[in-house]
Amino acid sequence: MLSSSPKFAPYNAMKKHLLVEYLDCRRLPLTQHEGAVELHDALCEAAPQFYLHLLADQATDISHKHKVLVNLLTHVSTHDIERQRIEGILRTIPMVEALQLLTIIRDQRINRSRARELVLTFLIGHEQFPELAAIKRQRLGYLLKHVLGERTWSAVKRALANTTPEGEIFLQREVLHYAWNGDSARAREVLCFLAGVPFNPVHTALAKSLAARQDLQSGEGLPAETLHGLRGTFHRKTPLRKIRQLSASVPTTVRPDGPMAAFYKDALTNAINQPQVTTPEAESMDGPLAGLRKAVALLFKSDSIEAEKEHSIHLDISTMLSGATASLPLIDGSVAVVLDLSASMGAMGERLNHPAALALALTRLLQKRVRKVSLHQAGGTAQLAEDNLPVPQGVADIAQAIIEAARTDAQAILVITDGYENVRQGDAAQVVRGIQQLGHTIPVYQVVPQFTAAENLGQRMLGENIPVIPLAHEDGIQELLARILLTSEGENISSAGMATLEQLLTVR
Amino acid sequence: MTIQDASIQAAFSGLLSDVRPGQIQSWGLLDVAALFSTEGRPDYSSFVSPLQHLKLVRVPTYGTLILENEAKSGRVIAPMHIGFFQVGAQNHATSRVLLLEAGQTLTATDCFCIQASQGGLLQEAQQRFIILPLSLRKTALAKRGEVGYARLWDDIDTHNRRHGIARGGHLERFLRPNFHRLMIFRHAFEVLPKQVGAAYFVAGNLVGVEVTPNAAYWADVGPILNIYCYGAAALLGGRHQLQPERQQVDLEGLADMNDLARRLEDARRQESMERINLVEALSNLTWNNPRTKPGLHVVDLEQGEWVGQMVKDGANMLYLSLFRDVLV
Repeated sequence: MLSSSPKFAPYNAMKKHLLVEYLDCRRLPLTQHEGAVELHDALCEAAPQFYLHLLADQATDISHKHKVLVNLLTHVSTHDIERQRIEGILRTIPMVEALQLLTIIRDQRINRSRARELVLTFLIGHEQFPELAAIKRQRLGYLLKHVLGERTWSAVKRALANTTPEGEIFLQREVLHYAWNGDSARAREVLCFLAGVPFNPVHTALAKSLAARQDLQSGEGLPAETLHGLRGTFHRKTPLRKIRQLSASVPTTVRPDGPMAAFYKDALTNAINQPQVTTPEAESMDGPLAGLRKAVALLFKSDSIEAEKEHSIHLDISTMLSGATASLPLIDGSVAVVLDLSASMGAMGERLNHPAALALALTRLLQKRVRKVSLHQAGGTAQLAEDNLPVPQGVADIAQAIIEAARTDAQAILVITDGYENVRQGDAAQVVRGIQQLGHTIPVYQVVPQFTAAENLGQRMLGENIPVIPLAHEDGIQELLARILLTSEGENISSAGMATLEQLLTVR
Repeated sequence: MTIQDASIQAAFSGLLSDVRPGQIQSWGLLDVAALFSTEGRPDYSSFVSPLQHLKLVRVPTYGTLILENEAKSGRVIAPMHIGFFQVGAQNHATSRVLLLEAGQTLTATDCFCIQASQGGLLQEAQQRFIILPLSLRKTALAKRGEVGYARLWDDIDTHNRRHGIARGGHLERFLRPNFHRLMIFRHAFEVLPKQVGAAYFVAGNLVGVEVTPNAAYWADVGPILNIYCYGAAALLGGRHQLQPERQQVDLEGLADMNDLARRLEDARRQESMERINLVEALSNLTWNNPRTKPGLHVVDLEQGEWVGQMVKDGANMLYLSLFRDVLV
């Protein structure tokens, strides 16, 4: 229920500058942004229901999420949010990450029943409670001890070790009734493991972790972090290389490409490699990449010099584009896109064509989902068009392109570039300064298509006056659309605008 | 067409009359002016890329490299001061430019060991090779034709200490900790279509001119020069507090968007012309540049602080590497 009381402010109380500031700082640790704590308090007060969803925001640094969780548990404006809703959001994120979030409850000594119930229902009631315990025993134990209290935790340990009717009633009341699917035996086993009470392990993850205490070889497949901990306590003389041999392969930190970026990457890679069509499947020219195969085949059949000059691929992506944008709202705004297709956007090695493919995907998604888009391309073999795909080539005059973009009536300029501004490094920043000096308040953003979020962009920023939006996946289009929408909103964001923003920024 | 393209299309006169300047790119302290063949320069497509076809066969003894041109047709010009690496063996670099006919095996006895503390003879070098950092090249060229595998160690030691690295004639001690800084120069500078060479500037000072037979050759060798040779020089310039020589865009009293675009063009044009004039002046120094000698031949170049080598085909320049120290 939306009350007129300022304590439970409706959406239209959300201020634009708060959201813009949050979007600008959310990738940095909380401590690196002056006023971040006050910003969180203001966001929380302005729209607590929206604020709740920030807990699952993939682009946000963990320190911000810690602050979100603390506010959800302690801030007066969030009291109307039911604990079950917080738990529901936590269940949408990987369990190890959720545990990392919940750890803040112990770190900040939060002792209220809301926090206690959240931790117990989420952890003990989680399907993967045993697996988590097997690899994060110490952290989990400390957290449970904190929320239950030392005396209760000691009583739980005693009750687990010595079975009595009173003890069973106690255990049931304090911990076991949270068990997943009512499986008390399973929950008891995990609690015994965490409390250090002897038991006969049935669950394989727990059995493996226990066996590794006797023989590290038995822990094969456990994460390296867990094995390092076991080695430090039980097998100090075991060489470190043994850990590397035994540990589970670390899941790749690189997310799979979205459909549009994957399609463009394939197209660009094929254009470079000049594929030989040899397999029956490829020769059939059927399937999802049929258009691409035909286009690439045509491209390299031509021997003329003119055709070489215009290395571009002709393909129809309308169906794929419609699918990729089906869940995205149409933004009634205008944006100018400066698209860098210089040779460096082709990248190399495992990143081959990634920046260009992601940049092309974002551009096409913007064109499809924003009412008016003007495109200012710099570099590339040909002009990007509906059915024409240029290949990265040459240099990119980003500064000139920004001037051209600023001549339009766009509400924002998005410069999609890897940041290697080599037609005079620093010109883009100077041009933006000039545009601002002329009284234009149009925001200019540098959008960097990253391969991983861990990339260091320190040397690749166009200028201090151009905020950087690093995007490692085409679903980053949602942030771009949100920023465009925000430019057309007044300082008090409308209810409709807020609803769209919530859709854009909180849906995983 | 960019402003740079429009203003600097004319060919040079003098030594560099076979090439004309193009787009200038800049990153940090390093500026790179692309060079293109003039219309009169033959298309030297029969010269193949060393990256694809030059193979290190073996090192029979320290300081001697046996190289092979694996191409069935097509000659290779092994660029001056090319270095070969292999884990667990003594890395080597050449002292001069080398010419290899198709299929030819060549023994160069005047090469350098560049890794003093690592023994072992190279058996199979990594395909990725390097070009010596700029501040080693003048000495390396001066020591061509001599024998003695350790004769560059003192210079590598000096080079490393200038970069703040522990002493020793061990080039990898410089490359390893600086590799991530050097790789920026690989990404920041684009190879342009039909580009055959480049002029390099550190903090606005011309420090090198490189010309190769054709665009495919340059596409392979250009980035290696950017990284190891001139990128290293830019890092050294940074350590010595050199500042980029940039013509700033004057924003005082800006009238409108057209005015901004015009001022940007003016600043760039002026900077480009300053750079190109430096190359033109270098080109017009008095050089040992025989115009009548027929066939393929190597010419040694020296003029003041500038040294280098050139491969000529009759009157035309096929390959050129001309440079000076960044700190002179």
